[in-house]
Amino acid sequence: MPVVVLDNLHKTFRVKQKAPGLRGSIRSLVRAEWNTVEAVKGVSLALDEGDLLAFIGPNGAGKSTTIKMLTGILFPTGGQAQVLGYVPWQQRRALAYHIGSVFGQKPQLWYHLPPQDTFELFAHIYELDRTAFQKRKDFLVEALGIGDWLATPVRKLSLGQRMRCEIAASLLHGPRILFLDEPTIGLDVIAKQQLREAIKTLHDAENLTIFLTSHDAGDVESLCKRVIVINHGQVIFDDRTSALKRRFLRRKIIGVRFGEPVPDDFSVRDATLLKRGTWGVKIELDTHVRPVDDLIKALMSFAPVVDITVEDPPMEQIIREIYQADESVQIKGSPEPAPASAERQSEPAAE
Amino acid sequence: MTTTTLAAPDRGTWRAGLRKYGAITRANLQNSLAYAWEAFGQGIFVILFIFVFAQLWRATFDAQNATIIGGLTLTQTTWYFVWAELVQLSKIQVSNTIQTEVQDGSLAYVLGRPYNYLLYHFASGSGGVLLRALFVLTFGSAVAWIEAGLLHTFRLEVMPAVLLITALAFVLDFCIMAGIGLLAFFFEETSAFRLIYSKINFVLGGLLLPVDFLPDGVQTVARVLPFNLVLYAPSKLFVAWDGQQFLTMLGLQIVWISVFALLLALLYRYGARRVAINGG
Repeated sequence: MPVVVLDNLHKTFRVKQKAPGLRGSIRSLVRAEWNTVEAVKGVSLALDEGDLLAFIGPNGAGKSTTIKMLTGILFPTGGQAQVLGYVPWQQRRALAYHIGSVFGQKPQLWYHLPPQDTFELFAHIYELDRTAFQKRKDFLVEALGIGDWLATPVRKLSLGQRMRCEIAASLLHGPRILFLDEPTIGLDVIAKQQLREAIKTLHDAENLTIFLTSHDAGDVESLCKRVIVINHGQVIFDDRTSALKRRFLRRKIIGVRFGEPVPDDFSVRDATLLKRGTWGVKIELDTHVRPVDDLIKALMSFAPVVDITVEDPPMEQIIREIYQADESVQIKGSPEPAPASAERQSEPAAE
Repeated sequence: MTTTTLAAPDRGTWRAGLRKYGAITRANLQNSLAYAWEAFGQGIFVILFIFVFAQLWRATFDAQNATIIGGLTLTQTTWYFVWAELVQLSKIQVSNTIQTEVQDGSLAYVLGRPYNYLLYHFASGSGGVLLRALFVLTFGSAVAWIEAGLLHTFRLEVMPAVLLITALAFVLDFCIMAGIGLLAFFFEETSAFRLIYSKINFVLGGLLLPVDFLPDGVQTVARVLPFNLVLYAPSKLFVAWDGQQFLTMLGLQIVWISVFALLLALLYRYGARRVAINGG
């Protein structure tokens, strides 16, 4: 039985418009003009217990708005939703005992207090049994590896350390569903990987249902079996991550910095040279045409390699490719024909 | 481990509720200690403020060759301002807090927890009140003592009643300020409303001068409105206790708190449907 159900969910905001300059400011005082922005347009989906769903899309796609409706913070303009049988915006306080949330760009830990003080506060807010809370805290401290920072004021923690503490804080009351809104935003590569591993460990240990939004395709590849791509408030892709990887995450951007100037005769086959500098190059590779390790071996033969990075293409490019994949298919929930969709691909998952 | 197995045996009872809001107050007090120097700075500001007021009123009393104006001596008037500043500088700055929550998006966390949003802010804001009040009272009293002498009308036995009126003054002010803060759910920017309220408090609420000193017509208006119950009521009772006035003020405070609490609940109910949180 699904634990999260969204049925044709809509959210519209009114946004004030103002012409530039002083004249525009004065005019907007007398006669304000408003634009209607449809942040979420008819999103429907269902999650089963233990699902780890990636809800991805570029900035402004409607991811956070959807999460805020599912946690009861925002009222929808239309449609229905149920989370663990609760209607979030009508039963927010009752639901709050059963869900946790982390908004990557906003701290929930008290800034001047060490994390353990916020944990104590949350134990009272969620009305937890003292003994059970202590056990739970010990488990999370161990699982997330945050023991060394419990007594350090949050303002002194790095972003990566803080995010792990944020996740611990959101799980103290034993929620069945965890909403993670851009948890890896702003983290360096190592911190990102550590956080992803921690999330995966907790998911596996507790059969936790996780609803993760991100605009980093790497989060999806590392963590989630299922992915939904949202753009302009509409679902444009809903399938297994393996299908997304096979179809749209096959390109990698490889950056190499050499220990000596790039040789004059530098060239690569089966890949596109995006940029060439004195000391390094940037290459786009289709991994279906040539494996990454093969290209790296070739690059190392040119000159000593000082640094190398392998990145996913930006989310905007993935979305463009989804649109380009099939221009005849209508986007889910859209009344008019959409540019393209690769929704619910039918091929079996590789995982 | 689920939330059910973690629940305290008395979850949902008033005792658990008290612990919850008490913990929120305690956390805010701990957090406020990081801003202890700010509270100390306010205390320093009070030294200047009470000194200037004492000088001005000394000149006024001398010019009128009076020992009593509006029923108060110079000493009482000076100590009146100590108590008025204590309320003014220590009260909960909830409207600012709510507006910031809407603007920076942190409302997403604060709204999503199992507590009453407005009680949360009251409990949280109360944490810093004690610290600020302590500094203001210490420095203000010192200056008032030096400038005007000890408060000859001070009566320890009525202080519990004065503190009750002072506590209700904080509650009433919270209801008004929270109402202004909730307007951020509709307008985002509420500083204009805050400015209007502070100016009304300044003139009609007894911050500029005790309501008894106002011209008769203005005084009548000021006494009908709720604003004098925030600053004037506790300050007047502190320097010139009157049992009958205490009962009247107490009754009025309870009535106005009930009215504003109801309005606040309605405003919250309606505002929560309309709020648009910034940052996604």
